[in-house]
Amino acid sequence: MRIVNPSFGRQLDAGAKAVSEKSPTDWLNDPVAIISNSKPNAMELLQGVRKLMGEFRSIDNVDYMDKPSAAHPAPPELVERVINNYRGAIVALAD
Amino acid sequence: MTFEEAGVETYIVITETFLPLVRAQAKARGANPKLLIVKHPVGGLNEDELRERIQTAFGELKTVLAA
Amino acid sequence: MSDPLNDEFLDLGDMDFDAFNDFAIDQGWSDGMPMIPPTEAKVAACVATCHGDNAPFPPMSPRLVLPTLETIAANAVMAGCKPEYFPAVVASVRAILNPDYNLHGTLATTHPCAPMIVVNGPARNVMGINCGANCFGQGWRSNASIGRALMLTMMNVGGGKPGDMDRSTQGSPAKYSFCFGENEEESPWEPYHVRRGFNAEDSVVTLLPAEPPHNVNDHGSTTGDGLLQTIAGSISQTGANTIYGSAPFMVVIGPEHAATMKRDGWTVPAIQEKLHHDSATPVERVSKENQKNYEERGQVIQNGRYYHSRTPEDIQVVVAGGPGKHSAVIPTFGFTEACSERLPIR
Repeated sequence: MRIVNPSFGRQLDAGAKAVSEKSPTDWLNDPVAIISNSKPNAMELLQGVRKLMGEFRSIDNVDYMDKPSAAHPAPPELVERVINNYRGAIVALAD
Repeated sequence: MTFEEAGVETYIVITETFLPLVRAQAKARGANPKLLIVKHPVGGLNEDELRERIQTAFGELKTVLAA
Repeated sequence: MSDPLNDEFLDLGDMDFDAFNDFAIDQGWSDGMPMIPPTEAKVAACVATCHGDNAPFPPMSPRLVLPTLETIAANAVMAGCKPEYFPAVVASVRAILNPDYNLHGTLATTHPCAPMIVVNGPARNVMGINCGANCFGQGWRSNASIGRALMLTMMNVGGGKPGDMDRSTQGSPAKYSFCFGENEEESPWEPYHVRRGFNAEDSVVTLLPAEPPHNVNDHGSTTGDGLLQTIAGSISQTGANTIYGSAPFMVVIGPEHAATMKRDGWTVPAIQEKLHHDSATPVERVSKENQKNYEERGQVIQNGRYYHSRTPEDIQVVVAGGPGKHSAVIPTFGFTEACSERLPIR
């Protein structure tokens, strides 16, 4: 028997991945964005991580921000803000 | 993953339960995200239980910071 | 090396029906029940019903591959669809791929939502879709197989496999199939799709990521007011997702309840307005921990209550079912919109 594959789908053409020309992130000094997915305890977990990072970092430029809804992707304004102002990000994504 | 392409090095905190979902998404997008994997769940934990998740999530980052 | 299972066509040699089903279950293609082999001829018969529907499909989450009419048809055949049901399956796939539906969110969530399909217009009669007695239940091939075809497409093309990339904590029976039609013939109001801006002669599916129907029993109330009070109380549950993610949800009014409401002068906008306010959950019914959780998620308290709908129009009112004093509330995932698509047929 010859069948049509029910799991067949055309692959999305991901295109050439953009390569950043920026220097590697310096996790001891560069500004870092910490982004919560707004789920219960995500904020507490990330704040705990931030506090532990503080024992290694001398500069207080780790900022905390919220993705408004766990059920939706991050809004473009938030993505833009992170890209323009930070060199590192720690994101709570799935729990 | 958009962050990485823009030069913002990114770590993603996930619970082990969500690994297959995150890996499948990453594969579909041709990305290779850096993951901080903690035990499931995170929601509903009290302060003591959460401390363990914080230590685990920080573990990988610590090697980067101490390098 | 490329995996032959990624090919569009698969030659399965001399497999019979049973062997095909063993193979299909091994591949993770099934919802657990036996399926019809999607032979090229059966798939072609489905695709022929949508001739001329050439609009490309966007990528389907979470696997992010592009569906084709053929691969959707393969899932429709496996689900038991007759070819004439296929336009409803295609329209349903397009509806869940509308970004407003939030397909990725509905699969990544631990909430048990399933894609609910409501069919309006002449296609209900052409396809024999049950809109009357037991409309949410068993016994109708079109209801059963159209909903099943959509779910199989989500699993096999989209990759939303249960326990893997469909993260639902408990799932629900609605994930096997959830498709019914509006009982337009016994509704005292304009058909649902007409109220959503379509023409009466259009055939339309409307999709929402939904829980199974929650029954509303009201044999005692003899007025529209009384019936709506009972329905509002049924919406107002503290465990609903919409309590912190106000969004569209559905109220399916049984024809006898609808007739009573109509007799008492209730219009659909008046019903929506009343239910919007009266279904809001009083703060004191919600645990302190959840009050803090909802506040952190930006849900505001209005008049000492949590509103499940953002506006009265969020409440999707349809009429369905047969004789009896029952209606239903169909809660949703929240974080979504009702998405309608016209079927690619006249």
